[in-house]
Amino acid sequence: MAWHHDKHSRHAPLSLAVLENVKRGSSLGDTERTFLHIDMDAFFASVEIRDNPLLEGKPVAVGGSNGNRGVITAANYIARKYGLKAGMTAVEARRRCHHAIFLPVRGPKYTYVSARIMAELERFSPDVKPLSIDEASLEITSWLKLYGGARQIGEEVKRTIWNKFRLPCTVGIGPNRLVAKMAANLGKPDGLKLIREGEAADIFAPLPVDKMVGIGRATSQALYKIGIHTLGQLAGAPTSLVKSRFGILGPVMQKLARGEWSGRMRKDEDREPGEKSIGHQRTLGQPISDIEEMKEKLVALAEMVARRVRRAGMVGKKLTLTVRYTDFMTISHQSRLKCVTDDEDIIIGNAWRLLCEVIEPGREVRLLGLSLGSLGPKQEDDRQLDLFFAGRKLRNEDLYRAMDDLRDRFGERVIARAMGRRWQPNSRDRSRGDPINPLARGVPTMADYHTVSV
Amino acid sequence: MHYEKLEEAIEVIVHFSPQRIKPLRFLWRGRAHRVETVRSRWTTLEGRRRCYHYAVIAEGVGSCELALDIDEMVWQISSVVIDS
Repeated sequence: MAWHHDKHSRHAPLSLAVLENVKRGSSLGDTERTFLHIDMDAFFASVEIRDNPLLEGKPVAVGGSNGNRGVITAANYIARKYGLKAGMTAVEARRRCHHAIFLPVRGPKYTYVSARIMAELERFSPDVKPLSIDEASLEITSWLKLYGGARQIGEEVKRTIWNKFRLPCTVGIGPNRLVAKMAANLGKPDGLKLIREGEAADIFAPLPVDKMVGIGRATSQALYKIGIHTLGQLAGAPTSLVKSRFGILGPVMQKLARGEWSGRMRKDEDREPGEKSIGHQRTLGQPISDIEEMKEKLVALAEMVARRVRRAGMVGKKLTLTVRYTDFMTISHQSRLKCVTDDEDIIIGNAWRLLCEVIEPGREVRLLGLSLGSLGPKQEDDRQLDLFFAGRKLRNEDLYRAMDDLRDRFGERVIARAMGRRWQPNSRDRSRGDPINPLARGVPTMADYHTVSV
Repeated sequence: MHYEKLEEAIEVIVHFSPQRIKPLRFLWRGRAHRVETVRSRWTTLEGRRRCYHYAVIAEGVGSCELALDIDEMVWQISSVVIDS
């Protein structure tokens, strides 16, 4: 029997008798809700090691293969012994482990493997929520009887992932998604950990507060200042104390520390239309302080954002620029546009204005991000708002459509503003001494160059 | 160890079965190499152009990556691993 991977029917093929068993099991109400969290171990690095056995037994990091540029996106457990971890700069990683093997990031490959793994997980539950490229959460309550228990499902998931993909993973099982994720964190690497109802608070108690999902570095520091170092101390602290310091978040953190979580994961379709945003951010290979260079990056980001917004048939009104300096200080700056748009000219112009308002001259930037929010479906009326420039707007729309068509057919890199791509001289131009500088000054408009490379 | 990017055209003997293409041997720089193991396969999409990629271990080459451009029906050896 064929198993179709469409969003309406994502169940594994099962016989009627088995389905009856499952139905009976769940209708008796004798099973507590059970969740399984799967986390692939050092996912990118594991995929590379699987594909190249020469890497086995060696410290491997994915990212930072371009000399001392960029950051590490994954490190295997041997590399982690030397302190390498995701997010670390290549310079720091090389300093800590000079003999590590640094590999290029091959995004499409990891995305493909991830999609295959997620499809495989649907065998175990119709309720699979991918949380990131290497993590997913499954509700397995109705399937406990079929497999004979939660541990059996966990073992079967691990076995299947290994047999089909030759990749290690850790599985955590708990009475809610939070406890299941914490169990997976505690079971790493290549483990299976089960935390039963009522056990979570005792297991979490000796852990440092920063081990809890959702408690980051800043919150941990604030907790240390009031004498709270472990999750047990957080759970037992007077509510008035944490509430006075963290507001309504305080009691929520206490609940988390006890392993109580009644929240549900929000699906995209649950979001209000006005909440949606589409954005991109890019960690720069090498920190930059030159404003013209930042403009190039910003134009490339704006192009990507505008294209995705157009593809979704949406228009947005709220533009957010994110700038992260080399000391990790991060600034977000927002602007509400005069009218809804999917026009990259308008996005570029406003993003540039935001950057000029927020940037500290001379300071090095390591990340730039741009997102368009308050999205809504595009209406015919949206194009008639600007009476004086309607002709130009229509011409732009035709141009964008043509550019989008080209990208759909030949890929994202086939056409771009010269503004958004640093010009690479060919050998003939080099011999003439690079006479051309295509980088325009000021706020770019549609009059800027467009370049085609096939 | 490092990857040498090649993107050189090769000729390949392939086994076709339903939903699967498996490279068996390839001719590269005048020499035939037998594919010992296909470690993994994945696809990429550049516009509408689909490519199948294979991480393989081949006799006399070691770990390398082969790619098949479905539109053009052209095989390439994309990269080889050099153990140094």
